[in-house]
Amino acid sequence: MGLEARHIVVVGAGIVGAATALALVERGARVTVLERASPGSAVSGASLACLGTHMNSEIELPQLIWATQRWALWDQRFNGAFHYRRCGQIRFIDHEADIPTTERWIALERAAGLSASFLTAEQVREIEPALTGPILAASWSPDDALVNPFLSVRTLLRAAMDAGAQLRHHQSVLAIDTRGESVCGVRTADATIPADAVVVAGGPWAADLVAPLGVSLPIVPRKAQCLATVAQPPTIRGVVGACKSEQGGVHGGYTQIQQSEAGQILFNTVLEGGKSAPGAQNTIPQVDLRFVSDSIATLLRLFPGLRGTDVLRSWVRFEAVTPDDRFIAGPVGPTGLYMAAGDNGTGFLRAPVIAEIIAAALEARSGEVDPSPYDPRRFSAGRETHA
Amino acid sequence: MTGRSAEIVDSEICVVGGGPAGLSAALAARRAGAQVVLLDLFDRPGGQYFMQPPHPVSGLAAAQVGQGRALIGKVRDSGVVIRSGVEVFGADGAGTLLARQGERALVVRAKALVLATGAHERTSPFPGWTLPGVMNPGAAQRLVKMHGITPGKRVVLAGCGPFLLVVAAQLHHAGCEVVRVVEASPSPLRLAATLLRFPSRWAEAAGLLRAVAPLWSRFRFGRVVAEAMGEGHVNRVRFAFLDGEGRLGADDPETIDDIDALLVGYGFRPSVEIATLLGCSLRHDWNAGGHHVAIDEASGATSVPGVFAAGEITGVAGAYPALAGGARAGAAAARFVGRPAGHSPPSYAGRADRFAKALRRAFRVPYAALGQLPDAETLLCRCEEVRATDVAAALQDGGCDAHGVKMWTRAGMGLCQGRICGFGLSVYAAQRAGLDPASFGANAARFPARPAPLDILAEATAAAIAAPQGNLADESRGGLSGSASRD
Ligand SMILES: Cc1cc2nc3c(=O)[nH]c(=O)nc-3n(C[C@H](O)[C@H](O)[C@H](O)COP(=O)(O)OP(=O)(O)OC[C@H]3O[C@@H](n4cnc5c(N)ncnc54)[C@H](O)[C@@H]3O)c2cc1C
Ligand SMILES: Cc1cc2nc3c(=O)[nH]c(=O)nc-3n(C[C@H](O)[C@H](O)[C@H](O)COP(=O)(O)OP(=O)(O)OC[C@H]3O[C@@H](n4cnc5c(N)ncnc54)[C@H](O)[C@@H]3O)c2cc1C
Repeated sequence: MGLEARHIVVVGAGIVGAATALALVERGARVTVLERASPGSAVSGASLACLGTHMNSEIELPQLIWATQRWALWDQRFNGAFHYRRCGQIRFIDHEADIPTTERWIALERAAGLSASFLTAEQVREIEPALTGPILAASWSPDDALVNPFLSVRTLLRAAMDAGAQLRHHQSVLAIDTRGESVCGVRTADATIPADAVVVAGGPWAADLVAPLGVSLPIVPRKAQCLATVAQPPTIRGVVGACKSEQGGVHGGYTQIQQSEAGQILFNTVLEGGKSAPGAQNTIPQVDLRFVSDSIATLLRLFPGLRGTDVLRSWVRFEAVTPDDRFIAGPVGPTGLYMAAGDNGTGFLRAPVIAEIIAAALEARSGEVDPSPYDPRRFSAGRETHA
Repeated sequence: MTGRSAEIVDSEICVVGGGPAGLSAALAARRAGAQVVLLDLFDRPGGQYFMQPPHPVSGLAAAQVGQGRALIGKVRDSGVVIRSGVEVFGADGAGTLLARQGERALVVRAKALVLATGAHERTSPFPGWTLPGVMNPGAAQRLVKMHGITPGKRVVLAGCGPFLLVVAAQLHHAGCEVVRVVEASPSPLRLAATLLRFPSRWAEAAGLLRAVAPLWSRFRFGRVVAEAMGEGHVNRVRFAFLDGEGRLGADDPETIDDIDALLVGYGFRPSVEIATLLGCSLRHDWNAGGHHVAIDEASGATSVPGVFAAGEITGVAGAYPALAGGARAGAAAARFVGRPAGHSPPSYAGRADRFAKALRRAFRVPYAALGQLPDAETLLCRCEEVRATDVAAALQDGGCDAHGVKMWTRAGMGLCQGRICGFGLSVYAAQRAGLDPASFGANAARFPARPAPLDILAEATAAAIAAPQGNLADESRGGLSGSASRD
C-alpha cells in the first residue's frame, strides 16, 4: 500500500522522529511532526552521536551495518551538512581477562565484513598520542564515525520540510484519539489534528502517551550525563571508550571520551547504569557529584596531560530504556499506531534503521532491514514482564 | 590526583556574595547569634556599589567607599568570617557548596544559605560592538576606580539608566573628555519628576547633578548607538532616533569622530547561576533585569527550603534595596537555623524599594530598538562567532527558544555560557520572531557555574562525597530539583 495521500503524524522531533519524518515524506505521505519544545532538545541534542558498529550489539549487527552505511550516504547527499567524520573508535582494556572477550567481538565483527582489530598499548599511542595513561591494550574500529548531533537533527528535519513535511514545534501532543479500532488523530492544547496514522517517536515519554490506549510498553527513563571542557587545541582524534567486560568498575558501566569539532573535550563515565524513577524525565536536574568524580578520574587516568584543563559545563538527559536494550519499533495497539522509541542510549546510530522499519510497516511491505529484533510483540503478555 | 585535599568549612550560615546585600545579610544573621561565613569572589569585600579601591579616592565615589568601609568593618567586628577570592562553582543539595580559592578546592557545609551574587552588565549587540575600544560602562568604571586607568581620552557614553550619569561623572572627574552622553529615554523630565517624589534622595541627586553639570550640553536624549566604526579600534560612532514606541526611527545625522572609547550599557542582568544550580525558581521581568530569583518579599526565602536570596539577583534595584533585602534574608536565615532574630527593617527599606521601581519607570530601555539594531553580519554571540543571520535562520527552522538557538548555532556555548550574549539574543528573538522573552528563556546555568580546572573539581567533588552532608532537606541531596527547561 503506497503512502500517497495518507496523513501521518510523527510525535517527537528527536533524531528518530526527524529520520522517520524524512523516510515517510519521501514515500509520498503527508507528514506533520509535532514537537513539544525545540526540535532535538531532549536526548538527541545532548548526544555524543557516535555512529559505530564496534562492541555494540551482536544480534543487531546487520542493522547497525546498514545504519552506518545510511549515515555515510546521508553525509554525501547533504554535502557534509552535519559534519560526519570517520574518526574511528578505541576501546581500552585494563584486565587480562578482557582480552578474550575483546577478541571475540573483533572476530564476529570481522566475520561480518568490518575491520575491527586489536592494538597493543604502543599502537594505541600511534592513533591517540595523548592517551598516555596506563592501559593494557585496546581494540580499534576505524570505520566508526562522529556527527554533529544538532546539525543532524536539523538537516534531516529541514530535508523533510523541504519535501513537504510540516513541523509544529513547541506543541505537545496531549492525547492520541481513536475511532473504533483505529487511530484517527492527535490532540494538542489548542488543536485536534486528524491523522491516518500516528508514529510515536517520543523517547522516554512515549510509553505514557500510548498507555491510555491500553498499550503497555516496558520503557523506563534512565539518567544520562555528560561533561565538557573549554575548547582545547586538537588533542583527542577519535572516540575513546571502555571495552565491554565483566570486570566491573569503569568496565562495568560506560565510558565515552571524544573531542568536539569546536575543541571541547566531551566525557562521561557511568559506573553503573540503573534506572530512574518514573517521571524523572520531566525535570532536568544537575549532574551527580559521584558521576563528576568518576568521569574526571577516568579522563585524567587516560589523558593525564589534561590535568589543568577547565571544565565548562555539564548536562543531564533521560534515555528510554527497554528490558533487552533494543528499540520498540512497529505497530502497537489500535490500527494506525506505531511505536519508535526505546533508544537505550545508542539511538543516534539506529535512527535510520527505525525510520526504515516504520516506513516499511506503514507501506505493509518488507523493507531493507530485518525488523524482528525490534518487534513490539516480544513484550506481549507472558513473554517478558514489565521491568 | 594531586595529592591535595579540599578544605572543609562548616558554618551555620553561608552567605555567597560580599556586596551590599551579602554584607547586610551576614551582619543581620550574625547579630541574631548565628555563626556566619561570607564568601566573595573579589579580592576585597564590597561588591559593586561598595567596591574598595586599593588607593584613596576622591570625588563622587569617596562617600560611597567610606560607607562601604564602615559596613565591612561592622561585619568583621561582629564575628562574621569573610573569605575573599573564593569562587563558588557548584552545589550539592542546599547544604553543600563547592568552591575554589586560587588553586585550592573548598567545600562549605551550612544549614542555611543566603545568595547575594549581584548582577552583571547587559550587553546589547549593534554593528561594530565587537571593535576594541567598545566596552560596558561598568568595566570602564572599574578601570578608573580600581586601577586609576581611564578607558580613553575622548569617550562617548550611551545606553539607559542612572548608571550612565554616575559613570559620566566619574570619567569626567578622572580627566576623560566625555564627548557625548546618549540616553535612550525621551527626556530628563521623567527622572526629574521621579526625584521630586523622593526628598530623601535629593542630596544624593544634587551631588550627582553637580558632578555632571559641566557635561550637560553634551547630553542627548531619545536615541541609541546605531553603529561603531573604525579600523581595528573604534574611532567613530553614529546614532539613531527612537520613535514613541521605543522602536528605531530616523538616523541621527550627527556622527562623532576621533573617539577612543565607546561605552554602552543597558542596565544589569541578575547573576542567577548559583541559584539555578540549587534549583531556585526564577521569574522573568525585563525591567527587573530579566530572569531573577523568585522570593518571598518578607523573608527573602526562595523556592528551596533553607536557601534565601537578596540584592540584585532578586531583581535589579540598586544598593539600598539590596541592603534592606540582605537584612531581611539574613534574619530569616538565622530564624531558619533556630536563632530567632528580632528583625526590624531599616527605616529606608520601603522607600528604597519604591524609589527603585519609580526609577525603572523613568528610564525605559528600548528593547524593540535594541532587537532591530543588529544587521545580518553582526555577531550576537562573540565566543562562538554567531551572526544575526545564523540566529534568524535557526528561528526560522523552529529553534524558537534560547536552547533551540543554542543547539543550532552554538550561540551561548562558549566561555560565557550565555551570560554576555543572552540578553542580546532574547531582544533579537523578540524582535525577529515575536517571541516573548520569558518563554524564550535563557541558557540555564549548569555545573560548574564558572569554568574550573579538572583537578580542583575532582578534589572538591571527592571531599563533598566523603563528608557527610552539613544538614538540610535530604530530598535535595544528589539530584537537585532542576528546572523543566532544557539546556
Ligand atoms: C551524553 C549522551 C551521549 C550519547 N552518545 C550516543 C552515541 O555516541 N551514539 C548513539 O547512537 N547514541 C548516543 N546517545 C543516545 C542518543 O542520543 C539517543 O538514543 C537518541 O538521541 C534518541 O533519540 P530519540 O529521537 O528517540 O529521542 P529524543 O531526542 O528524546 O526525542 C524525543 C522527542 O519527542 C518529544 N516528545 C515527547 N513526547 C512528546 C509529546 N507528547 N508531544 C510532542 N513532543 C513530544 C520530546 O520533546 C523529544 O524532543 C547519547 C545520549 C547522551 C545523553
Ligand atoms: C559593573 C557594575 C558596576 C556598578 N556600579 C554601580 C555604581 O557605581 N553605583 C550604583 O549605585 N550601582 C552600581 N551597580 C549596581 C549594583 O548592582 C548595586 O548597586 C549593588 O552593588 C548591588 O548589590 P548586591 O549585593 O546585590 O550585588 P553586588 O554588589 O554586585 O555584589 C555581588 C558580590 O557577589 C560576588 N559573587 C558573584 N558570584 C559569585 C560566586 N559565584 N562566588 C563568590 N562570589 C560571587 C561578587 O564578587 C560580588 O562581590 C553596578 C553594577 C555592576 C554590575
